Amino acid sequence: MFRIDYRLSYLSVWIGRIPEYVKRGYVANYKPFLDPSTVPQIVQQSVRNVEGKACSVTRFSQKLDSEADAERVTKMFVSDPRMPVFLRMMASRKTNRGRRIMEMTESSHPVFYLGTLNDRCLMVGIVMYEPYEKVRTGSFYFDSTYIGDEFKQIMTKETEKLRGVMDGVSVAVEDILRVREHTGAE
Amino acid sequence: MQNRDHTTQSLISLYHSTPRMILYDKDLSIDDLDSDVHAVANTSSGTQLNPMEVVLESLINKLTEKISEENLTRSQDTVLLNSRFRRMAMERLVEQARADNQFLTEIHQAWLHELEEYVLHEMKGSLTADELVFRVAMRYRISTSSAARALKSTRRARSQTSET
Repeated sequence: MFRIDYRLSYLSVWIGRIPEYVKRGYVANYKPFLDPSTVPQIVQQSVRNVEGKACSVTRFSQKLDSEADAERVTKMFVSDPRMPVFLRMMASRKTNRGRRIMEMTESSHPVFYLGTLNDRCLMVGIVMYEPYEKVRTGSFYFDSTYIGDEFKQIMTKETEKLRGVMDGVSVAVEDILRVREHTGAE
Repeated sequence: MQNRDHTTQSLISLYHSTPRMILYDKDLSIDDLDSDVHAVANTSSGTQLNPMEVVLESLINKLTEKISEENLTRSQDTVLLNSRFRRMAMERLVEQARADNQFLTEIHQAWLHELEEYVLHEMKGSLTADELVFRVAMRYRISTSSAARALKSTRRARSQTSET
């Protein structure tokens, strides 16, 4: 009995250190995810609407050119005290070091978002390109269902605005390629 | 003329370096940026150029990063964006646009040319239109709708240039 209590209490310490969104599993998923630039403002707006406070957002993205660079970034990631424990643990696994991380970033061009309010980590977002499916996905985890819901509502409005915006992009890109091919051939 | 070329080149060269970490301070909002962009666009011939608001949105954001690097972080890797730095970026562009009537026309063309070069580079791999728009939005610090608008405008801008 003592052993079980001890194990449970030991486990609860770890669970307690993992942010709330992991326990609740509160997540907003988007596929395809298209808009990297407005995420910080949407997160800030959501937090302001729900809690009346202003939060900071960090966006992290980097093409890694060497294994050493990948190692350096991993160390930086792991040593950031604002980073949720489970992410630090994932990043510090031996199988996720160096070359593997470099290869992963080359193919998926990941973008990482972190929403913080003083020492509180209220949002983690990961946006990655799936090279096989040729689609970009975005997952955003929140420590509060209220903020998550607000974020979803604002995102829905922003997504609505994008309807029809993509029409004609493919034609424009083909045009750029064709003109260059033509001028290059001259 | 030489001064304008130099300014244009230095602004375009901002896109050649990309900080890995961007910290968005608490006092940023989309509405502020909209009004900033209009303030610059209305200074001279900006309103006749399409998509000038997109070009300015991008330039203000990149210049804000540069100002942050110069005044605060001293690092190309990490920048902090706040309303003070953005205000400074906007003021620099307004000043330039007021001092030189042709500045906006020049930077508009140079920006679209830089965008085309980037598209050509990225399309060496087989990217979908969605992913290309995402990458353009990331690189040029603009919203996705602005990125799509910019890509669609390159064709029109090219035909306008050839007419003139």
